[in-house]
Amino acid sequence: MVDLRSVSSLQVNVGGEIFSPPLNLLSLDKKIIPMNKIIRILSALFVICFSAVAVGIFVYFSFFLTTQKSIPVNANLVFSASLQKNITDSNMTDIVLQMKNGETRILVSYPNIYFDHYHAIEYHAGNIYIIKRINNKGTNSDWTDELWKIDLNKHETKMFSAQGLDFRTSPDGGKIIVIKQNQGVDELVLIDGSGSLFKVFSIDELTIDPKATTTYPLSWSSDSKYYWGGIIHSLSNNVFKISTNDFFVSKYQFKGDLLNHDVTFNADASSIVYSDYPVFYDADEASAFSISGIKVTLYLENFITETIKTINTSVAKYFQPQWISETEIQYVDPNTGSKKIYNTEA
Amino acid sequence: MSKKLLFSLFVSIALVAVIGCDSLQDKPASNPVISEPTLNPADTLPNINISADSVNALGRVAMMDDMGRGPVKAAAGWQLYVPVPFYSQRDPHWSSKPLGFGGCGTTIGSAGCFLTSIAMCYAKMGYSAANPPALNDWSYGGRAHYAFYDGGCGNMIRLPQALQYPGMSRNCHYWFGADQIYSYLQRGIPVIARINGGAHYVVIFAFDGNRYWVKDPWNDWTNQDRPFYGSFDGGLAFGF
Repeated sequence: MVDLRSVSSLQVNVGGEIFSPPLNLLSLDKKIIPMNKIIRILSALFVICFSAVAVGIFVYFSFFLTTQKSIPVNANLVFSASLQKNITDSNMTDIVLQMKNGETRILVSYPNIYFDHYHAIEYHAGNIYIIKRINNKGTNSDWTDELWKIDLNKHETKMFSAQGLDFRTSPDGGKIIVIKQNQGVDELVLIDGSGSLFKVFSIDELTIDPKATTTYPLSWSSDSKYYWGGIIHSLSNNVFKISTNDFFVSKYQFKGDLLNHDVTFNADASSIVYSDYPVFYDADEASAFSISGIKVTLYLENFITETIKTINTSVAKYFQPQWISETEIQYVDPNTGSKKIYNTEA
Repeated sequence: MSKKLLFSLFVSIALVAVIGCDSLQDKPASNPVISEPTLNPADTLPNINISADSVNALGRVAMMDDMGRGPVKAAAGWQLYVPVPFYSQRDPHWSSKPLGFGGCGTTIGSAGCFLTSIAMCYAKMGYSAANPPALNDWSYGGRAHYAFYDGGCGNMIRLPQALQYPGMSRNCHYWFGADQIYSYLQRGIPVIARINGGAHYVVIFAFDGNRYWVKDPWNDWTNQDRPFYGSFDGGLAFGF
């Protein structure tokens, strides 16, 4: 007799071969055999239940959440859109809608979205605009960036493609400025809301410095009639305004630096707020300046009236100005550290 | 015995359910403790502002010294030439990436001249993996964007950290005067020049007997070399 309470399996040598018959064939103790069966059945049940729960959780995160995209989204309820890396597939990027009620919702996920672009997504009037980087593998030189428009029903339209691009869409979604390079020099391409070309602006049409190469996007006016941009790293920096009615370009000299930490622009007011705090690329140099005692001035410049006003001064401190309306600017008072409001009409 | 088996089975399943399977996988080693370098007070930025003409004149004086003050003859071609691989900060492949931590809307393209100049010097030393986007995103010692200061716009280089790339010689010299540019080029070491009051950075790589020449990260491939321009506000050499 074999007591299965002391062994869990038995091996029998039959003619030199190891034979492991099922336990129930060997056992003579009938009370033990059902117990082992129960253990196995219970274990199997437990594993099945555990697996079911795990599968359920997986299905919830990977399927249920994505089914939200099938629910129609009302454009009036959407506040903005942003990108996030997909939690289950690192090759995918989610387009996330921020709703006006504070909720977020994943609209759709795509591969190839240029997640690392500093300005990869915009949302205007029920459409999302994103940049995809295509064919970007290894040292392949055949890659392209593509600007896509996606509506809330997930219909996609390719708007533009080039090797490297930036874009700004007008508030009404009817016009888009695409910034791309042509032989190392920037050019601006104005297209309509379906991707058709309006006009290409060369750098020569936008700058007062014939050696300038690079533009800097500022913003559209809220009525979508004017696009404002600037020229950086030039001997004579300027800002420009493109009228989308007649494509006329107005140029205005600008003595500040658009890369300055304290720059904020308001297209509707045709005005810029900036300080003469230097632009630093070296943290040690910036640290040395911060204790230098050098005076820094915050200015308000109106390009139409060609007036410059002094808002405030500091001793080597930033102001962090922000437009809060067409006539009001909020900034940090460097003397008190509190926020102050400056009225441009005062 | 069966009860023990049953008990251990339940405990095992419960543990797997609670802990999950991560404990069975290899965990990454904890971040190494690193000592971050700090700026030597002796290396504080000199308040120098020397015109390109004066910088070139100093180069000619150094060349005359080198020739024993004998008659100076303009060399056919380069008097000194240090081959330096070129990177453009405005290369469309990476120009739209946020610079450092990415604040204030600045990008490698708009404000990455210092980063790109450092990357060119790394490439000269054989560290081609430290190209502008890689150096921009370089994480080290558990810190993202190790080469950048995380305050303000998060886009300013922490020079001692940026020169700490693994395997690199720790030798560096900053910010020296224009009279030392020639001797570094003689030793085959390019010089990063801070120009126009720190508004731009370029890499001095050659002297043609009359003028220094730079690799300008602002330019594209076809215009990468140009005579030194602007005002010189300090030189940087490293990795020697």
